[in-house]
Amino acid sequence: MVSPTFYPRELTSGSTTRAPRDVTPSRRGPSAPSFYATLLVAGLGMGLTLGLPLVDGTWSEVHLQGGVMMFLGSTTGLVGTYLALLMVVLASRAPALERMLGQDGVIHWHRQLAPWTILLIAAHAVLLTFAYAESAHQGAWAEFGTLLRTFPNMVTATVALGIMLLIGLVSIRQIRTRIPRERWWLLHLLMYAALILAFAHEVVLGPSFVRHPVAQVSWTVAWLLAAALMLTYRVGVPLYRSLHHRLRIVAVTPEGSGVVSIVLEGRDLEHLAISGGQFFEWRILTPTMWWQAHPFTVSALPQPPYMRITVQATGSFTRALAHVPVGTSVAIEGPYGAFTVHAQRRRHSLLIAGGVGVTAVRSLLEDLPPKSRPVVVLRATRDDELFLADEVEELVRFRKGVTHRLVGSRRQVPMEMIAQLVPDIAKRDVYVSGSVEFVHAAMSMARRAGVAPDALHHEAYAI
Amino acid sequence: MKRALTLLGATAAGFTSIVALHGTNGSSGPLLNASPATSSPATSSPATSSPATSSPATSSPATSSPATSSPATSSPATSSPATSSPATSSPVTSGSSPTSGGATAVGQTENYGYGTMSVKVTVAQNHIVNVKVNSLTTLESYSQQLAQYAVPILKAEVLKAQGTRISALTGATYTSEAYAYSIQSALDKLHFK
Repeated sequence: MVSPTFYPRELTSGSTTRAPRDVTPSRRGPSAPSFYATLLVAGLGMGLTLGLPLVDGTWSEVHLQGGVMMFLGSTTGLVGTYLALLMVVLASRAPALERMLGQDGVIHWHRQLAPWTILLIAAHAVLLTFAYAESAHQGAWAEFGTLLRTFPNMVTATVALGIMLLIGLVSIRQIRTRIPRERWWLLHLLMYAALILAFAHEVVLGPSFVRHPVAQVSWTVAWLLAAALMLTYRVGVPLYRSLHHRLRIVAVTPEGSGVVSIVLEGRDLEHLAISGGQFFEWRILTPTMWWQAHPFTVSALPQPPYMRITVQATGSFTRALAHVPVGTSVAIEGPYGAFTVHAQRRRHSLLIAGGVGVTAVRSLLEDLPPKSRPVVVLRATRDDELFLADEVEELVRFRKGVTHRLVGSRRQVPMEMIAQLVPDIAKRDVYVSGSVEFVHAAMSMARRAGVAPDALHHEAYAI
Repeated sequence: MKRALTLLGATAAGFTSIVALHGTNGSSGPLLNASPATSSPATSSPATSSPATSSPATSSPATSSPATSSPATSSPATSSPATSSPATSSPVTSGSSPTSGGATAVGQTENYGYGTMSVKVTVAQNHIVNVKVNSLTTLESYSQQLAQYAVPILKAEVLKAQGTRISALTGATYTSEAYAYSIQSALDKLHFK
């Protein structure tokens, strides 16, 4: 088996062209109008949802026994479920959303909404139980039994609530960090079951939906659209791409310090529309690993029939990766991420990589045109953590740029040093890739140095 | 900041539009004395069928004192319920001899979302003398309770008003509407004016 080399050949071979890839760079950066249009749609939906209890809803019963709680209960339920809808749309990773918010932006908003969604839905259940108890002149506990026994679809709705509360609980940071990522993810998948289980009681019992066919149909259509987005982009497209490209592992090579590069071979990679800096969710199809997907950035643009990822061993999965036998098939989902040249707003750029975050910078560099004079900062605590540094230097040299290797502890090499090394930082697009903490520190340094928000791009990976 | 304003503005717009287009539904307004013979309840929006928006719900008395919720007197006299029902297609179920206990007819079974209801109306000497629930099924126990609480009050109102120009009970709007519609269809069968 010939092990392909991804060492940049532009200078060494004297040729300035890579093997041509028939890929149309369809991925553009975020455009402000579409972003505000999306905010507008999300806000309109929220307004309509808030209005539902007021028009023909529980507002008309507000002065009844338990009417206030009835009104609050239906409002919290509707708003909470609307937020859940937004969360599903965010989780669908529709390419348009990814371009607008960035991959970590999508996850950020999904996480921001999560506690509100779960708390509102929990409040809905509690408030309505007490409301019905008050109007039926019985205790809340007895009313809970009555609700379960005599109201249609309330058993499934209660199961759904239980699942949501469980997932909410294990998603609290302190608990989540103690659970293996894979197990948490499996549990988290149950949320879709919960949303489906809860749906029936919304349209059959909800005072805003019963006898309101327009509201009922709109609500159902909104959820069907969200489900379609989810199934298309999280199931259909990945399945098609995996079957079409048929990727297999052909080589696993150590890069030092617990980092391995994995080279894959596949069909028709000329047509894989990927930009440098993007990543895939990878599924290694072995009997024990197939069910979990992990995000890894491509550390070089494909050189058909090969492509490469570079991975740091941090968890049990990534440690096991180093021992996956050659020939193993791999499924992909993606490419994802807006950490690409299409996000660029200025003529020149500064790329900052922390540790293994170099992978995104390495592949993004390939998309930068010759003579674009990029400045690249490679940051690591120790020398052997400067991965792929020679490849990066080669690519930068070809583009008439400068590479800085900054090695040492945070005290020895403060982040502010970058601003001193690159005096024209404020005139450049700044790309930061690395751990969450690293990205955070580098971004605030860049902001202090006068880099405009629209020129700041980042891709953070969680360990 | 601009983003937050966009989001809040859109929320306000959505909220305002649904409230403005539909109107908040105070349910204590008088029911229309319209003949429901052909309108299936599932499609008739309650806001359009009742002029409820004009009478704020706050003016309705406590639910425990139903007697005070008087029938709407402001309702226009133009509504003549019987005109829309053709005489040929009215199957009066009970005997039509005026001398006996009067004529009885069962109204249409009205589906009101949380259940179905039909009522039986007895008319003697152009007077509504009795109203009974003929059939009642509900989706859940709460609606059953609600209907059982509402029906005696509604019956009293109908007997007092001698027609279906009654106020919907707060919290039991749909039940009240179904009750009134079913009575009206029964009255139409009996050619009651």
